[in-house]
Amino acid sequence: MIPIVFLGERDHGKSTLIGRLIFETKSMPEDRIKDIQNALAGSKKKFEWAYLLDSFRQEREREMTLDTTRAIIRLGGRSYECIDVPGHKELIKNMLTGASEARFAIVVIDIREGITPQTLRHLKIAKFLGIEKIIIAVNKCDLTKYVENEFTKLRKKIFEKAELVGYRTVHVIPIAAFFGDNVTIRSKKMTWYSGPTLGEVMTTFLVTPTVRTHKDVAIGIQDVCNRIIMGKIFIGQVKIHDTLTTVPRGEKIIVQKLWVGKSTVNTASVPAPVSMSGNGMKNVRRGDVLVKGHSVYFTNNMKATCVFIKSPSKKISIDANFNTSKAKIVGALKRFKPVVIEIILQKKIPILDTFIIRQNSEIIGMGRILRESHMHR
Amino acid sequence: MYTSTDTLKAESILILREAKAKFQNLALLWSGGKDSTALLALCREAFFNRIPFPVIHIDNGIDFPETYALRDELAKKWNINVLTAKSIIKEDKISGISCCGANKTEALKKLMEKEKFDGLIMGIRRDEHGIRAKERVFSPRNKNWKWDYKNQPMETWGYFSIDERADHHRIHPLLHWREIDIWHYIHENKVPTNPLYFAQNGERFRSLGCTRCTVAIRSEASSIPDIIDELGDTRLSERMGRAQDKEAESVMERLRVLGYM
Repeated sequence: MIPIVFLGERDHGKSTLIGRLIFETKSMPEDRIKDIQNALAGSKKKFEWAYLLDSFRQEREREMTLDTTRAIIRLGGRSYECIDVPGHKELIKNMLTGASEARFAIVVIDIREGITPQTLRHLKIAKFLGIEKIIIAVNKCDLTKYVENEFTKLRKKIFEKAELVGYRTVHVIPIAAFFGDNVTIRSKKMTWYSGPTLGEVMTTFLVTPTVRTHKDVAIGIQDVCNRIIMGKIFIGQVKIHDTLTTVPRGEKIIVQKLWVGKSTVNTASVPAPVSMSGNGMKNVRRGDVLVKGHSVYFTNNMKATCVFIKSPSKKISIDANFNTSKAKIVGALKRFKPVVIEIILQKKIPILDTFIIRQNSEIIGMGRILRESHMHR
Repeated sequence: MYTSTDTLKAESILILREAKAKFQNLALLWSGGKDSTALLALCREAFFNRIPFPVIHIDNGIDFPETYALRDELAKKWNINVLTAKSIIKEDKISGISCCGANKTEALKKLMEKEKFDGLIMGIRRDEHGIRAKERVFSPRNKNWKWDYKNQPMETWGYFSIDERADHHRIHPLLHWREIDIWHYIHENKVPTNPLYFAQNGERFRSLGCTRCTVAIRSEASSIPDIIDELGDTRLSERMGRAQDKEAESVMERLRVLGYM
């Protein structure tokens, strides 16, 4: 399953495009589509592809996506999980919830409006989240009468902005999602376009996310029960007889027994949920990270890129790898876009690269440590 | 090399362990169906063969006999503390929103008030219904049991929000699974299965509710591999036999806002 998030300004056609993809790839049961059509027959509304995604009554009435949702489509022998997110600025919270799991993105741009501040904000957030590859779907080409020049002008601007944000290889495709031009079927109205359809680019470009191999190991401990410690492997691979170091206490432990779920195993790697028993584990508790190599930061003062959905109050905390610390932010910040800030933690906690920011128990932001500012781990 | 079920499983186990760490008084909601039974099996993987919280069965007295038999078998085999939330079917309220609302939801409410659970683990999945696709993994319900779907908390990178003002949270460890994934997991792990899922005389149940609201589908699938094959090329939805899912009156949305599963 390959998760792809659909980004872009509101009303540029994200939900319509996913709805159309669902339809063209026959990925939604027929009775569910019928059921939606029947439900609309009672109202004055015309059927829209977006209604395959926008399930709330209010979403259909207001013709906008309020919350993130997902739909699975099958294309070229693969399953793609299409994550729809709202385009409104006020709904960045729901956008982040959906987008943070994706490795790839399709950015939808209305050909008449081009790159809006919100499109650019989504592009920057995509880069911040670590989305590796993007495709740009220039939508609603029917509304500029399928004229080539309109598309070419916009494409030039898109390349410039994408490169500025940090995306060098970008595919730009002219489409009309509502009519299905260049979605998975080549448009007969845009014969001047000889490039691939969106579906073709998806199946060749958005294929396998990069798998990073590590010599280092990092395992976050979630729970301890009857001297068995349970956790999640964040980095690398663990084997029986491995010696690992606990952060924060710096003690050595030796793995003697290893389980994934209920089965005993000799090795386990990302993303397995592991359980372990062995020597030196009596002080291990929830929030510790077991490491080999230098895979975690252990610091109480860090520079990081963060995105906030709420302005934080004085009392915030940082969560990373099942551990938490109270914290303070230095400097002013803006919401809804990546900002570089300094965070001072009340106590040192082990952090890999990323963390979240809570106010009380609510998540109000997410962050990524700036590597260059922490050469010594 | 990991199979796709391993990745799904890893995520579910992470969620279950986080729920145990963050909530004081958890319970799991079991319906007799494949999803909540697979969820029980996953709990045993997450917590080393134990199920460290009670399991609630909402019993309206008209579940299938096979469902009661499976409940008793699992309780014994896996040493489960089963709590039944008894509801009494009122004859004038026997379909869709009024039945599920009045009977199941009310019975659950009573039990929750008595036991003061702060987290309710359940096996809903995104691919079942457009409304369920919008859910969070930790989903707060307020004092009136309302689901404030217009203002859901942020969840990201495996971290979940907790709303301190909530009456309780629904916890959804299977949200990312598909119907076919559940069957693969059940098959790979030999999870006990309700026999109603297997075809007899050309019919089987694809989704199980109580005897009133659930309709069988035409099928010849009499084993799990048959079911997996059947799902591979079906063009009909899983819950087509379930009255409470119909779009026409936004039944599912209204039910869930009121606290339905």
